[in-house]
Amino acid sequence: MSIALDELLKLEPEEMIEHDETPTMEDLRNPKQIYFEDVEVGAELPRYINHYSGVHFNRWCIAMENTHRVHYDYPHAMNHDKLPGVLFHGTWRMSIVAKWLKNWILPNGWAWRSSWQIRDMVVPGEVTILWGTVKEKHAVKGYGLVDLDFGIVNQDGVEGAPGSATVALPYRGGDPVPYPFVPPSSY
Amino acid sequence: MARYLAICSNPGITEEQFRSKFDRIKKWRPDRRTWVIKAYCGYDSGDLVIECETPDKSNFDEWLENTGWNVKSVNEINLIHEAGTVWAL
Repeated sequence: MSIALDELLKLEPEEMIEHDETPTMEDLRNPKQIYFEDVEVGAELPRYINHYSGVHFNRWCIAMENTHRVHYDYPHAMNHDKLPGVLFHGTWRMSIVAKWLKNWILPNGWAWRSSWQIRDMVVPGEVTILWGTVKEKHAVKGYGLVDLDFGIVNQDGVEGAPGSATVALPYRGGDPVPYPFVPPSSY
Repeated sequence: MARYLAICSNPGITEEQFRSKFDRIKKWRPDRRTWVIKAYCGYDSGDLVIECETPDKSNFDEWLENTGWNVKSVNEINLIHEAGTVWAL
């Protein structure tokens, strides 16, 4: 049973990390399917809790070929752009959210859509807590759709990326969600 | 936004005491537009030099007061040299 988010936020940052629910590589090699029937409105998704350093930021800059100095150049970020430090990338958040959704619906679901806003900066050393809850369920032909609310809060509980998503899950005993995925026209 | 530099004193300060002022983000970034960027601490003198970016000096004054350190001066700064680059603030 996961710790409640408000209880998690009372912990010291180092203790928060211990509650990270990111699946292991072994978990991902042998994913256990979540079926539409298994999901209840209000249920929480696994929380991905991380603690990134400037080295991680640099790595993402290199991977994305994004050389904007706000992401790796401390003096420039602080003295030119007047920021509290180098900043976590928007594209990195996109990557993390997509991975989180994909991991949850593996192997036969589909992460259909998601959207979110970036409302707060993240600098090295901060804890990022990616959380999500099931908002609504809709049974459609061939699969079920699950609407989610999610966000990324820091160790102080500040919401930096509020968003929503919809994933498709197979029915128990039913077929995998069709690939390529074609969303229902009426949804 | 403006940059301020405070000269403080706290003879006998320890590493643990110094770290305790910065061990949570909200301690060095008390609000969305105020952050303590850098702090220097010397054991022998007990002197501290603290750099802060904020739109309102009173935010920094309040932060300094909460440290309990003896504040000698707080000055607005306009130029920074860092490794060959001069930044005009």
